Amino acid sequence: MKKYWQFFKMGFQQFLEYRLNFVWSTAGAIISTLILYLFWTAILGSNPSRTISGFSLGNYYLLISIIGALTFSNFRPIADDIWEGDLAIDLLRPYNYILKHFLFELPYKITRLVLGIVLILLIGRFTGFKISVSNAILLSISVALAVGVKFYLAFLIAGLAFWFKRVHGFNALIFNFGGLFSGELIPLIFLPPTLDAFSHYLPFRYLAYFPVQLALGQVAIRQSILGFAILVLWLALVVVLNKLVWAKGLSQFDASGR
Amino acid sequence: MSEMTHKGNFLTWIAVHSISLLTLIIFFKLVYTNVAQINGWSQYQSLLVLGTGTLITGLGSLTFFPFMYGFSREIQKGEFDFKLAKPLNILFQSAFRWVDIEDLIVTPNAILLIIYSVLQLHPQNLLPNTIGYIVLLTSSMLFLFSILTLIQSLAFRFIQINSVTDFYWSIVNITKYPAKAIKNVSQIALYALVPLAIISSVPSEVLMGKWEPVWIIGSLTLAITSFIISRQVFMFSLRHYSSASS
Repeated sequence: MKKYWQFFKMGFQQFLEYRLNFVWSTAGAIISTLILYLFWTAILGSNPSRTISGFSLGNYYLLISIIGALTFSNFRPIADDIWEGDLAIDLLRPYNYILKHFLFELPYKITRLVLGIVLILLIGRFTGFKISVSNAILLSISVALAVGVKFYLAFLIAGLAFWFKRVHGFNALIFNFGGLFSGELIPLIFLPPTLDAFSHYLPFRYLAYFPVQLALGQVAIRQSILGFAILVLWLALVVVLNKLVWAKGLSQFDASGR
Repeated sequence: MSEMTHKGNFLTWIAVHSISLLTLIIFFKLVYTNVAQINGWSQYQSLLVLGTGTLITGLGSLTFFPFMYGFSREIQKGEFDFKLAKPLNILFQSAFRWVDIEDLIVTPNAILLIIYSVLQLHPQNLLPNTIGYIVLLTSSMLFLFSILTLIQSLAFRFIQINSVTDFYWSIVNITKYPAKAIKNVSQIALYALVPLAIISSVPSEVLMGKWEPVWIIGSLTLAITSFIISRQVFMFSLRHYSSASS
């Protein structure tokens, strides 16, 4: 346990040492959502406080943006480790490689969480937007599960580097395809019934739209229980998929670096 | 080109990038089922911007986008020193590292989408429009290259800025939306959007036959000025570089 505490401390030191990295990664996670918010404001007639099915566009994209930043996981360092052969060094050492990466990402997530809470409180003070305590608890649980799913998804994408020289195309696919069905590109109430029904069979809806709905108190108890069960199932599925892909990849990994 | 010899990999990339673009086309189609126009921008005009933004991504991958990968890692590991020893322009060496062949399919996909949108829009004087489009597309590429050069110059000072990749991709992805359709926002947001609008919206407008001298001169001036400044900043930052690995 002590070694993992050391990893967390190292991650925090690295975070402080390379502060600008945090700025870039957070800005990258927020900027796309911001432009989508502006785009939707243009579509819906320029009024940010205009409501769609009971929630304002501004609050919707505020939450989408914070959840997106919190659940963001970077696949690149892992893919680089595989591609350049550096993974071999980690494999020889007595620690869990996945956990190490998670602990290195944790300081970023904690800082974004603090910033997110401050932002919600600040905006709430001026606009009257509030999240009740019970909804905040439900939101936290759903975001924690979404963090897990997206972390393992990032690991899964990175794992494809065992076979492909570069894996950013897969990430772009998840970003666009996932964006359409997670509520980031388009609030899901605008999806036609067929696509809306299809979105229930994918994980993306539960990684952004579902937590936002929970925060805004728009999910009935039965639906929220079902939503959490689906999130847990997706988490289990990506963990298993991850294990399979990495086992297969490692069996042919020669650590030569390419 | 080794990636192309693995037929399976190459077909995977075709599928991945095509589905990716198709998703964005569906997005715009869905948007336009709710509204006929967005501040004067029709569906096919928006699709033309999407095609242009995608074309910029494709061309960038074939030229200077590899600049964003691994540059700070090279400095961090001290491998950048080897580049300095070579008798070649250092910015050129850093920026044009390899051809990102995995993204090869992005360019033809984008051209198909542009042709489809143009056929729906029926613009007049297509030949001069196309020439103007190519000129402005080149200027947009130059502007994007300059932004990347400016960002990467920071690597000499801050060493680990590998998250720049995510930030830069966000900018590139934004070019796929018709930024000029966004109006009635705060002045600060508007000024932030202006350079983004130039990247893909202005060339698209020219292809549609809408020549706006202010925007056209603005884009060309911005591209050239930003290129000169970014080159100067890069060379200035380089002077302050001392091997990071030592």
